Amino acid sequence: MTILLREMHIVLNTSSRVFMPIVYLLLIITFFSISLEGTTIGGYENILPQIIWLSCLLVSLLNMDSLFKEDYEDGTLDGIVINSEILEISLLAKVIAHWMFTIIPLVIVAFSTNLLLTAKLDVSIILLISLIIGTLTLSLIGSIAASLTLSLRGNGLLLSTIVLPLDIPILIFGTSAIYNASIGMNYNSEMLFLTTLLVLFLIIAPFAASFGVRNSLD
Amino acid sequence: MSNLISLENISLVRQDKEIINNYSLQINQKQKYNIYGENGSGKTSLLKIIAGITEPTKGEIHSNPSFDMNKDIFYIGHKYGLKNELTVYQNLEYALNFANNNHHSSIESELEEYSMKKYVNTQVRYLSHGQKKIISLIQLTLISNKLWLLDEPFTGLDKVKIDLLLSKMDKHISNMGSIVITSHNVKENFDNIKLC
Repeated sequence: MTILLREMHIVLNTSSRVFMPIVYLLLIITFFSISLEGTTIGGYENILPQIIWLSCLLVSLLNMDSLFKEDYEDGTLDGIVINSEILEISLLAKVIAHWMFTIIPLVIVAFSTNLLLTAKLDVSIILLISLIIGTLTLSLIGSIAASLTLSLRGNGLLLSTIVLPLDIPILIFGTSAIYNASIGMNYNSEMLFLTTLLVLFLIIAPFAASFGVRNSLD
Repeated sequence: MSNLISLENISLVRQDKEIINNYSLQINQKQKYNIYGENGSGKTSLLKIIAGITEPTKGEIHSNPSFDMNKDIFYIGHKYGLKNELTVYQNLEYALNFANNNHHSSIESELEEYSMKKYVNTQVRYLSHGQKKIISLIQLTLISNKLWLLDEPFTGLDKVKIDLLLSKMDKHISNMGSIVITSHNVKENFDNIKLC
């Protein structure tokens, strides 16, 4: 709880952490809109939710390397490692704090943008739910890569190289669920897969991140 | 004088280089230790081993059953453990919260003692290195864990602050605490241990 509150205070004191990803998201959606307008069969709004999903994935990667990096550089990670009775729970709290205060605003903007541009509430709700599940899973995967690349300079590229292949199943199931919802088909199996991946990484990620953090501090 | 932590035949190897070789140390209650040596002699690594941050390649670490390795150690390394985006007060407040300590009222009096009260609502990013170090050292006296592990605590402090820190250390020892510091030379009133 203390970690969550501290991260909230940091976000409140540095609002650019929240607003910059949102600006990037809106820019990507705008650029896609400009480049695809009039070129897609059946209308641009049919593929807009998938574009928003992909944009969210790319933007959420942007600050993934800062997940533990700042704590590592200012020494607070040492304190977390020494004083945590269960390091895995403290690191999970860090990931959830990062997701809540950096990714969730992005998800809300993505939902609102889709609703405004397509005027389809049912598809927008599926987009919102799949993004909530998907982005949390992405953050958990990112935490593993962030911990492993913590002590390396310029770790962003390596982190993206590790994370992107693992993100592909989430992207496939996320965009499939949205597509099925938009054409009135059943999307339960895709949502089930997304949820299964979330549960899997909720179990694996804290242990893997704990191993990575300890090795990086060593 | 009870024993808090025992290091037995500790060795640390990094990149095929033996940094610490078969080293043993007993940290007792009410004692101040100064681990000194040249640059690269392994002082910081030894402190990190005691803190539980670094795993030794060989050897064993035992602690007294009454000593909790997670709650009773406060470590300040070369980094200050402060968040640049938070104010001085918020940093100290969270340090207390992490330690489940509710003595928030003593934050301002401690800042006053170190002549830092005017920075209470200043974000840490605007402080100098010396001021950051003082804030990180204030955490020590606020939380008052049994064992203080301080990596070169006097570096970057002026004479007045060094004297104040030394008096805080003496007070901590009189309250049954223990201190391990690292430095480059022998210190008066410390148990000096040379690391080769």
